[in-house]
Formats: sequence, C-alpha cells, structure tokens
Amino acid sequence: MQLKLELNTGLCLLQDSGRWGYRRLGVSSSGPMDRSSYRWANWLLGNPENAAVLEITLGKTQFKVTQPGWLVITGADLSASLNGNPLTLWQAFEVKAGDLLLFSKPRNGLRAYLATAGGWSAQNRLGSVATSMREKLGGLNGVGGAVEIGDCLTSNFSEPELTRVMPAWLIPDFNAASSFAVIPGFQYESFALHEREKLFNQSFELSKDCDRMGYRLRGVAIHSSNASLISEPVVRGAIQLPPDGQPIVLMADCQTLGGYPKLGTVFSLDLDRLSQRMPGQSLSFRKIAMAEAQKRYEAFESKF
Amino acid sequence: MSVSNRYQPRVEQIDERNWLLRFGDQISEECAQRVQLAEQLAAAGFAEQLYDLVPAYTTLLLSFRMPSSDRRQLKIALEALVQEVFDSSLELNEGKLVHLPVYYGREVALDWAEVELQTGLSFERVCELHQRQAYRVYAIGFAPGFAYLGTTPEEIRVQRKSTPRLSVPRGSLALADNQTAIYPAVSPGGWQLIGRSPIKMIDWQSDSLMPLRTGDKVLFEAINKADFLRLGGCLDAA
Repeated sequence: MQLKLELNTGLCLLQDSGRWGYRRLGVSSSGPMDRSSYRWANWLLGNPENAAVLEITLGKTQFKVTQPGWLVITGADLSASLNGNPLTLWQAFEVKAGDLLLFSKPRNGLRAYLATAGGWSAQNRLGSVATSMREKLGGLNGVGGAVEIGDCLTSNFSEPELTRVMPAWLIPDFNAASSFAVIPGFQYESFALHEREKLFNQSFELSKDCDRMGYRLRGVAIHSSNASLISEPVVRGAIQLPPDGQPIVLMADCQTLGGYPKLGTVFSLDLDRLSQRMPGQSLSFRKIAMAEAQKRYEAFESKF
Repeated sequence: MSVSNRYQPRVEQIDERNWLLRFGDQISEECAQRVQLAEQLAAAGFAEQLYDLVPAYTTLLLSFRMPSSDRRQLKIALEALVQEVFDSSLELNEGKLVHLPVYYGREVALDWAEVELQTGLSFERVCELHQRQAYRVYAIGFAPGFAYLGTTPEEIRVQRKSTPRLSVPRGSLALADNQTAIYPAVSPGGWQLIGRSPIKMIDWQSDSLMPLRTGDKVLFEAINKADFLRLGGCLDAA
C-alpha cells in the first residue's frame, strides 16, 4: 500500500499512541490530539493499538494512490472523497493504484485520521514514530517533520486482518459538543471560591492561539492567590492559569513541567472532543467526580 | 522538628490514570531525596503498571497504563509508599558527579553587564562563585534535556530578564533566582546568560540521551576559548 501526497495546505503528521517513558527527560509524549478517533481507526482495520496513523488538520489535502490497499478515515469530517465521490467515514474502503483521495472543506471537526492496514511505516525514535515538530523527533524522517508534498506513505500490508463496523451511535458529532467535563484538582482548593467557580459558570471562546501544545481560551479572567508555585509535573488536559487569568488547556505536545497554578484536568475523552473544536468556537466546562470519570473511561475501553 | 509544622505529604489523583505525590512545599536537598527515593520505590513496586514517571522538585507524577479497578486501594498503597519514604533514613546511593566545561567569555556571556548590575559584583567574581560548588539536578523539564540545577550562592542570585529573549543560543549557561541551567537547544528564554558549554545536553543519537539524570551533581569547570571551540562549542549569536 502506498500513497503520495500531491496537494497540501493543512498539517499532516504521523502519530502513534505516543512517546512514553521519556517525559522525565523533558520529552513530550506527543501522539494523536483526538486519541479516541485514532483508536477507532486502528480498531476498524484490526490493526495493533499502537499502529501509526496520519493526523490531517484542516486544509486541502490530496493523495494519489500509488499501490493498492485498504484505508479508513475517522475523526473530523473534512469532506473526504475518492475520485470525486464522497466517502463514508468510520468504515474501511479499498483503493487501487491511480485513485485520488481528497480532503477539503471541514464540516464537522478539525482533525481527520487516515489509517491503513498494518499502519504507516516509519522509523521509531525513542520507541515511537509520533511527530513532535518542536522537539524535532518522529515522523517519516525521524526528525519531527510533517508529511510534505511529494512524500510517500507506505505500509507493508495491503489487506487488513479484518474489517469491523462502527456502531453508528458511537460516531461523535463534534459540532454538537460544547460542554466538557473537568476533574477539579492540582491547586483548585487554593483558588478563592468565587474565582474557581468562574471556570464553570461562563462560556469561553477558543482563541486563535491554539496548537498541539495548548489551547488558549478567552473569557472573564480567573485569578489565583497562588502567585509563585514550585514547578511540578503537568499532564495533558491540565487547565493552567497564567497571571492574565485566561486558561490554557494543555494538549498532546505539552511540556512536562509547569509553574502556573492549575484548576484541574479536562476528562480524557472530552479532551479528545475538545481537540476537534476550532478557534472562535465557544465552550463551557462542567465538574465531574473522579468516580464518574473513571466509569466513563472504563466503558470506553470495554468497547475495544 | 515538631509534628505541627511538618509538611503533610499528599497523594492526589489527577485523572483516571495519573497520580501526583507531594513531598514538601520548599525546594530542599532533603525533599529532592524523598522524591528520588519515591521514584525508585514506585518503579520497583508498580513496574509494568506504569507507563511514565515524572519527578520534579517536590513532586512525583505516576502515570498508570489503566485506571485502577479499586482506586481506594491504590490510594492506600501510594500513601504507604509515601510513608515508607518519610520513615527511611534517606541514605541513598548518591547520583553521579558530572563535570561540565564552560567558557565564561564575555562574547557568549550575553548578560554579563546586567548580572554585574544586579549582583554588584564583578563578572569575574560571579564566575568564580558559580564554579565553587557542586549543584544538584533537581528536575528536568521545560524542554528536552533542560536540567534545573540548584541552589546557587546568595551573592549571584539574579532575576529573570523582564523581556525574555526570543532565541537563546544552544549551550548557553544561565542564571535565574537560585537556579542555574544550560539551554540544550536554541529556544526562547528569560534567564540571564553567563557563559556557554560545548557539551550536548541532549543527544538523540546517544544511548543515554543526556549526560545528566535527576539526582546527579554537577560541577562547572572554566575552559578557555580554544578548548571551547576544540570541544565543539559554537560562538553563534543564536
């Protein structure tokens, strides 16, 4: 199976489930922004859970099929088509040499995941092919580059082990999702009551400063009484409050340590949906108890 | 120390799979040793259940592969681990001592004048004091290979730059508050620059990746310009 990238105005990054075990050296874990869609993509093709998938963020992106095989697209609806015919997402399809695969207008969500039987081939760096552009690690060339026009994506498999069907009710609607669950934590208790409640009783706007490292929100400022904090480990989903009081939600490429006070962590499955929101869109947060978060996560895992 | 003013260690669950252990609210050698011991105990005790461990100054993050089926029980186990850390005598096998060569030339010590102003000392005196003691690697983070070393002598403590540099040259030796560090790669940064090391602080090609680990000790050794260049040092502005 081989695809050649012919047209690209967005961002195409090879991702697997992430570079773990090196965060102690300051190396970000990276990996897909929307882990749920990534997992489903591999599951639909019977791939190993960790197989490399292409994350396509916005833009007009066209591939020419140079060797036949099987593909699946999950995540955002970027009006994917094959030779001009609309494709059904969340369902495996076969392609033959010469076919043209095009992604164009975003209709629902921001990031699509293009998986192939067996996963895309790339060399592991520190145990992972996940692309970290900032750290110059991973990807096709191993040094953190995006997939560019002229690059070929290859898989050593042409046929999947099996193809599965996605239950329709599990396919997310990213346009509908505007409320996201947060597990209060970190310095939550050290914020004044009326300050920390501001996280839950207002609507925020996603600013244009949103990237794979963090999403900056805009709203009524939330002030911390905790001015100086000894730098401590942070996790993906953590909500940081810098001195200007505008929250930053940490994403897949986030740093490992941080010195800003934090109000809690966006629940992992909701963070996946948050990563599909676009700058300018609104969102709100609601509190979730740890027990409920854990139950929801276990229910998700049990589907695979 | 009386029981009342002793820091109460805490075990916090961050989300389904991440737990944070807190060992103190002050940066100290003792607290750092507790974190280090906890890391060793956790790595041994939970082994394959963990997919990552991140130590910092006073905290240790444990990332589990799967949510615990019984989080109350896991909390009790982690509290027992913390208790074991506090009960132990902290006679750890000390980290290794690493000698790092530094060129303190003014053409690479881009902030020598500001450091003189803030400390009231001559730049030569600052360099002398900076090399006089070994520093502990308290944490690694911010960027791959960025090691926070401390604590520096009172006399040479300086504030960060009011406007951070957009681009700090690779290898820059820097001061901020009671910490000192080497920038492993070109990056933005607000610390005051007092020299440059030719040593690669992160090397993706090497098996060990970094010459330093949390808990190691670092001694800086002044070298001249010729040696700096011979060892691969770079005089670029950024």
